[in-house]
Amino acid sequence: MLLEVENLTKKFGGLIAVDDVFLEIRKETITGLIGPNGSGKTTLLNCINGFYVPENGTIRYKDKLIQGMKPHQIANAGIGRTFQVPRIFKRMTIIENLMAPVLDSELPDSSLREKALEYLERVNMAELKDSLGDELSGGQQKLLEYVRLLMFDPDMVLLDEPFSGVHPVLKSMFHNEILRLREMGKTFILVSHDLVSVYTLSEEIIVLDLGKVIARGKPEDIKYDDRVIEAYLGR
Amino acid sequence: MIDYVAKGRMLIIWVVLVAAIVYLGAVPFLPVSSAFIFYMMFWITMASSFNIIYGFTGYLPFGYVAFYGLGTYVTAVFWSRLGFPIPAAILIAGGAGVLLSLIFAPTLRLRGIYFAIVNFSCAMALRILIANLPEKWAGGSFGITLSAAYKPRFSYYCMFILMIVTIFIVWKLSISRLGIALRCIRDDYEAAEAMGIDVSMCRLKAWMLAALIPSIAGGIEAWHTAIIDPDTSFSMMITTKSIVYAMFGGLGTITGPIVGAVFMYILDDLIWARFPILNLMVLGIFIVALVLFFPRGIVGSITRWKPTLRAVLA
Amino acid sequence: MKNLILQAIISGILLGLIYGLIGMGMNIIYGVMRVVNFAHGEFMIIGSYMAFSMTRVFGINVLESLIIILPIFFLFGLFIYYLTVPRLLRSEDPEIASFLTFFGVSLIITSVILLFWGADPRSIPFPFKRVSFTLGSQFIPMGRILSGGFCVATIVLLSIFLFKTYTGQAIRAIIQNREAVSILGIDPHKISSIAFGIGLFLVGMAGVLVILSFPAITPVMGQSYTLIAFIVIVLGGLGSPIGALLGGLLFGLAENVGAIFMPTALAPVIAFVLLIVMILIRPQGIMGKAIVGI
Repeated sequence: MLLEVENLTKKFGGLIAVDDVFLEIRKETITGLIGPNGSGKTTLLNCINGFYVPENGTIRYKDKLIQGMKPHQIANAGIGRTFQVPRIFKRMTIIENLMAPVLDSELPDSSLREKALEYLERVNMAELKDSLGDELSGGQQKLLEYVRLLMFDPDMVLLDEPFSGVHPVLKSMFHNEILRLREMGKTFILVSHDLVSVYTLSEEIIVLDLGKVIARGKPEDIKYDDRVIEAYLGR
Repeated sequence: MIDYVAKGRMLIIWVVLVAAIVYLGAVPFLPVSSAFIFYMMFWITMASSFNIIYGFTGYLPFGYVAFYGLGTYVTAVFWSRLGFPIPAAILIAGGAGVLLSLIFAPTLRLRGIYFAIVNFSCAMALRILIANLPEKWAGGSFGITLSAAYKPRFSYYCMFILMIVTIFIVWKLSISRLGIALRCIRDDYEAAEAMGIDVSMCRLKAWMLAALIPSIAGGIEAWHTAIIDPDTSFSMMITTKSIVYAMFGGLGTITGPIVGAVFMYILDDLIWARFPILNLMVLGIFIVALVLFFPRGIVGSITRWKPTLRAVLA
Repeated sequence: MKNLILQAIISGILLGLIYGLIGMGMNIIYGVMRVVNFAHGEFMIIGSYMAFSMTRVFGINVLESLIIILPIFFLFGLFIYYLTVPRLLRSEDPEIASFLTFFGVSLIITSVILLFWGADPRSIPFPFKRVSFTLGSQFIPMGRILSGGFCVATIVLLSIFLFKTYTGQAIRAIIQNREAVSILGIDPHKISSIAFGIGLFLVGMAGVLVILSFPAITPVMGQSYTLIAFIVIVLGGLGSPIGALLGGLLFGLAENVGAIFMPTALAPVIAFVLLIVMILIRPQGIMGKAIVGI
């Protein structure tokens, strides 16, 4: 197992955002994480990458306990993430944005810049390299966040709503890229409201509602699970 | 192909730089007011070091005067009460500034306005504490005179060296990886953490650096004026002017605080000489206008308008 | 000794009410529009100076001057709001921008005071015959009782306003959730400007009432009151009016009880110690929501 989560509980005051959750994620898989708004999906990601310290439970990554570690330590252990709304560095140039995840690299700056430019060219953004982050359009910000992830090159990626507000062409590109990276040995947790994408991409799907796992299984099983339909359509 | 435009720009910069250094180095032997130039260099130093913590890292220390004030006092006390030579006392002042920054370090957990308010309160507390120390240590409300150590030419060159070192540090920082990490923290500290940047370590380094420089500057300035007291050493104006000068030039750029400090210092001096009471009002109006209509400052606006100049000015 | 402490507690509460008033004004402004009014203390002492001039020019007493000063302050709040805040809210970092802007405003006000009233301290003679009041074994200055009474009345009226009127409830709604408000169809500019007016109303009140306890005023006092307001709102929690009242009382008590045990000049240090302890154990203050980074 690459990532093992046991008995994970996170509370905010009286509200239990994540309630006794178990997860087992194998290497080179895509796991979909779905559930209605407020079901604790993003909170779960925030616990895994260290933004939140859970009240209870353990998180193991590559057989090492990581809960209680600081977010940057978890990132350096090899877990990368994206955000619901792209969080790029707005007052820095695009190249500097791409340097951010590789600041501890032993390679010289010049070869890192070269690599960054190469990635930028691949998404047709090379001529924007000296623009500032807040000069980009929404779609370009999404792309930049993706390229930044490529620079970061983590073994495990937590994707938080990668398809929201994304143009259909870009969306199918993201689909292909996720599958391509999985072939290269990356592991994904995919949080999305775009159920069609989640059903097509994932090997396993986990359904959260009110912080609890209410169903887990293969996409074709989840699709027709009564509890899932109920959770989405209301009781 | 060689980029002649870029080469030409670099040449101009080097010429300006060398000319400025030669001129500033010669001032004590020229028929100009070296006190005037001394303070110009002092404000360039203060605005540039303030830029490290606010412009680059995004923390607004509204009690920035604390480091300067501590520097003046440590220098004066070590020289007058403990018999240290002035240069040693100034270096000790730098160390004391770093120590103070470590004491204040837990407040870096606070963000934005909260940090600014708390830092301001910390500086006020330090002022009350120092003003109330026994007179035989810190001189009470009368302060300490250093007239026996008065050597304006030496203190002038100390400030000259400190200014050059400070600008060099800021320049090095802006092209270093630490500089990128700091600006990431400024723009979005959570995203920076998710990229594997050790936020608390990086900002602590910036904080210590931003404390070291004004403490030393305070020590040199105390030597230059040869008298200190709690009111001038902990004057709000030190913080204010560091902020306004840096902002006017352009925060987060290397040249911004320099341009801002030179321009605003000359302006300030003119107004101060003519209308002492209006000086405060003009400064106030200037701050309001700056924040509301011109938040990027001179250099910030130029680079926004012509991004290719960013490599030269920023 | 016991007597001394009792005395300190009484005056701590009476002064704490004024500090609370200062802090409430600042917190309503901060809570509603995330504007940190650095000029708060300067607004306050300009209230004191106006009361001073009115007692001279019109021959009325300090409390009567409130009738004129409070509406002026409220309208002045609306004016300042429309002059600065809508523009500030559009800037990159509104909190810091407002902090700096109102710092600039504080310099402008200080220079206005210097122009009109000069740098020398001014003082207002106590307007009433009876100067103190005996409660058991305690002598309490009449001025503090009066100002304490006015504070309590103001706080009660403010609470009724905040909890029972539509505008007041809208102000509390904005403080609690800024996004929800635009959905509910409340005009944020109208509510915010009224909140700013109330903030200045409260600080104008504090500026007049404080004369009854400390009759001497100087132009540089503004900054000390701003500092007190900061400490009070950090203690009570940023953005919470009720928290500010509690913070003010805590500050008043700490200052006055502390003064028994140490030299008067060092008494403010107690407040800073309190502040630092609060930051370490409960950074969001008594009533505040968590706003701490890492």
